[in-house]
Amino acid sequence: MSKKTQIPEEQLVQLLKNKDREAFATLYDNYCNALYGVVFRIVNDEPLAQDILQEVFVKIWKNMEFYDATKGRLFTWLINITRNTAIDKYRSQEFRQQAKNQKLDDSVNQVNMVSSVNTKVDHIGLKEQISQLKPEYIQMVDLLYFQGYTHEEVAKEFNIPLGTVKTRIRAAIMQLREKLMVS
Amino acid sequence: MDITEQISSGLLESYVFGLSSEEENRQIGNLIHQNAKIKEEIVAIEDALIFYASQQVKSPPATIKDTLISQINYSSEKKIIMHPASVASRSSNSTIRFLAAAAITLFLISTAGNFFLYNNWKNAEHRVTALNNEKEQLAQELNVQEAKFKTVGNDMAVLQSPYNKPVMLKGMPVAPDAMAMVYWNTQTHEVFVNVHKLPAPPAGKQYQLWALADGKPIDAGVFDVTDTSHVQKMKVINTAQAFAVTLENEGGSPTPTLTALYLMGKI
Repeated sequence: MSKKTQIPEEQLVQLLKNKDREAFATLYDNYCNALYGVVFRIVNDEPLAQDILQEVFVKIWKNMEFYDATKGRLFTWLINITRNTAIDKYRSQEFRQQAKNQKLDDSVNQVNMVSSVNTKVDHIGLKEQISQLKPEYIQMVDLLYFQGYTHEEVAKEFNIPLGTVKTRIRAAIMQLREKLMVS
Repeated sequence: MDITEQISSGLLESYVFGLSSEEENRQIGNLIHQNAKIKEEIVAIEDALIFYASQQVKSPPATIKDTLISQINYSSEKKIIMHPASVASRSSNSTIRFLAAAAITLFLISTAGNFFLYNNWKNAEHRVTALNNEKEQLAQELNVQEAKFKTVGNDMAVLQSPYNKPVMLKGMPVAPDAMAMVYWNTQTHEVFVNVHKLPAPPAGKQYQLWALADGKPIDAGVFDVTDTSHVQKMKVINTAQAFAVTLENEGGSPTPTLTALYLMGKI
């Protein structure tokens, strides 16, 4: 976060598609913390998370040509690769069921934990703003976005209809958007 | 479903989450191009999630970056071998190729040059050896010629000296064609003989010169007949009225064998 190289996303993408190694270093500097955060949220194990992070960046480097800017932001693409890689790895380690139960048991503390992972906050008071969000909504976002749950799995866990999961997710995102606008 | 319904159904969130089906993805892909509002909505959802994710950051160990950089260097090198398409690699390849070609060319030129110089050096060495041999031969020849010249000079001195009295020795009945000259120096009393014609002596025999003084034969030494072109120096004779040559045993005799008298001449 401290020394993010400021370079327009389109330009960075173009350089990466041309296999520019400096651009790759920049990409790593800009996104490693966010992506490592995601991987760690999924596997909850540092050595494993580090292995996965490496694999993720190698995949990004090799598959850069397939990124299509018209379909979404670079970050969305990166986080999808990250999440899918981490989940594949995690499943192959056969930890998933066990860990999922464990995390749901801790669900009350989830939001606080989310905040405590974050050591550097860009905006003053942001921690408070996120903690003001409806905890179970945010938890659904976490499960779907960071932990690779399907809508069906979330619906089953919370014992609510599938349509409700989707609208609650939307509500949670709307809340985040409002917070983002305010800050 | 109209656009507002699409948006409110949470489909776009699913899309951004990467959880929508392929059918839905195609549908949304078309919508993005048709409707700017859809695109804006997607960007807003993404921004919200980026914002949220930016609160979940965790720093990985610094070593991962180095490992990754070396990993992609390795993988891109492999790629260059398989597809030499990237401009950067092509230019560096061609630089290496140019340098390699230049190095090989220089090496060949240097090798050819060395070979040429080595041959030149070998030839020069051969010529020096040949010239040295020739020089030695010439020097030897010169010595021989000098020796000959010296002898001829001595002969000339004997023949030209006004004090040398020439005495012609003529063949006796044993060898009527035989002939020799004796030069007797009246001052130093030196005696020289120059054979013109004498039969070759049998093995174990030698010709001997005698001076006859007051009817007595005096030994003047033995001589060879092989070298007829030179004057041979004999023993000093103080008084003589005639010279004679007999064939004697090798090394000479104290008294002449008169049966083998070959030459005789009076002064």
